[in-house]
Amino acid sequence: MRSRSRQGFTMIELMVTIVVITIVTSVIASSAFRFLQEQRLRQSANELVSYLITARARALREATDSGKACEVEVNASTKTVKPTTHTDNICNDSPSLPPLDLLLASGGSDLTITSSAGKSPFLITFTRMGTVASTNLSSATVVTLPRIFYFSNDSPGATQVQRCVMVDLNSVRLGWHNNTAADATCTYDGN
Amino acid sequence: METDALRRWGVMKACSSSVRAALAPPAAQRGFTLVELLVAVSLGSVVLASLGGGLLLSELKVSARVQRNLYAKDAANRAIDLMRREASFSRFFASQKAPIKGSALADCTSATPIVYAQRNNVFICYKTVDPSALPVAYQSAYQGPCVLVRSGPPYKPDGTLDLTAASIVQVLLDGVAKAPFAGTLCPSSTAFAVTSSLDSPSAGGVLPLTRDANVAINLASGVRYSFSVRAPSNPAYDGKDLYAKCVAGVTPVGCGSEDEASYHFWPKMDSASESIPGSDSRENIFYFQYDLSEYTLREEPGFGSGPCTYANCYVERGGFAVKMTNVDALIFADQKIRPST
Repeated sequence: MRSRSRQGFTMIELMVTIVVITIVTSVIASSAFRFLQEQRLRQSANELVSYLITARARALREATDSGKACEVEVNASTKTVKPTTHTDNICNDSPSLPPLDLLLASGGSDLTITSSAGKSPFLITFTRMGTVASTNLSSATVVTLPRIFYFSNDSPGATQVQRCVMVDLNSVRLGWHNNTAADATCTYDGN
Repeated sequence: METDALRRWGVMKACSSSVRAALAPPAAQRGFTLVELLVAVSLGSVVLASLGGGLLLSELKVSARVQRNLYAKDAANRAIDLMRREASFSRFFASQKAPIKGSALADCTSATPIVYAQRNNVFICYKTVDPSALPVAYQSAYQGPCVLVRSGPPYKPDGTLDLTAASIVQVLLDGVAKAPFAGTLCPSSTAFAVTSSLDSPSAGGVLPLTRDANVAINLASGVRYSFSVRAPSNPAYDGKDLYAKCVAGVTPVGCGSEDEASYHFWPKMDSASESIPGSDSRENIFYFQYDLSEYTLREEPGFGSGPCTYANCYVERGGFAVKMTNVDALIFADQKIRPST
């Protein structure tokens, strides 16, 4: 008769082991998926922040002529940001500020962009003082500040995670928001 | 035969077992069992993961703190830069009785902000408020204990101020400290120090004004920013500084400014019955903020009176007026005139 210590695993032991490994892997995979989602949204929102800061810097540097400014439009439908074609738009002068594909920056994942006010495309005009104008070159509609852009990934089954970009009179800030919170407020860098 | 063979086999087996037992290493020298190895590896992994995770977390925290500090520094520099730019276009600064009054947030009379006049009598003030004073939707977006806000006209796309639009309140900087400004309160009463050049501003004038302002902002992080700025003098005033607006009917001393040869007056123009008597012994110069074309000049109040003269001059604008005597010169934003004697 063979000793007990030389016996193999029973079916029960094997099944329990497989189940445990499966659960652990699922948890890790879920966390990794969520982490990747967050990073993609963060990347996309970061790209918008960088773009707006570049536009502001260009307005400060180049919009010295009277009437000139740097006007960009954030399009929620096409997920792009680019200079408008207004003749006084310094950012549209050669070399113009290249358009930015926010969807590409997010790794091509699902991306929804909304704003605190107004309708897409959202216009932002930076003046030669480095401030955000209360009206735009292309539109006389008054812009209420701060203007906040919400970046969310609402693919089915995924936890909706938001990133936020806040444009104030003289600052552009990146923030984040866990959608489990009741309101739509974000926490921003520097807080 | 077969029995012998089996017996020999039994003997050999017995010998073999005893030899093996004799040659086997002592228990202390045996290798680890698989179970022991797995337990050890698992424990080691947990310990290593904890240490590595802790180090990574610590590194991330340091990185985040550096990022926050960089952001705060950049934001403060931008706020200071905007204030300095706006101040450089100003006519004067005042430390109290600012004229902006509206909502509790926009009200500049409740604080002691920098105030300066642009052309067309437009004022901008800066002050610190508690974040709870901001619109509810944005309260949590800004860090306390104080937030620096700007109350004034908005910007047009060409970078100039929209002087026709109503004043609005916009946040310039958050994370501003309470202390040492006023100790525990927002708005702070001494966040901005405006240096008045007038020795006794209340002697014959109100709203003490100055061309010099010292601005200091303390951040909650302990960093302090400060700068001094001098408002450009109005060319129409021949470089003369005006330190206070006149109170109706007072003697010239302390109202406006004076030198050995002349008195300088700045009528308040906030009522229809202001009266400023000039001095008999010195030259009397009266200053007005707007272009000559915006004012009506007569000798006496009322329709049909003659032109403004040295003895009597009545200047009116928008329902406000001042009556002056011994008028040697009137200086407006665009030109100066000398009344006939």
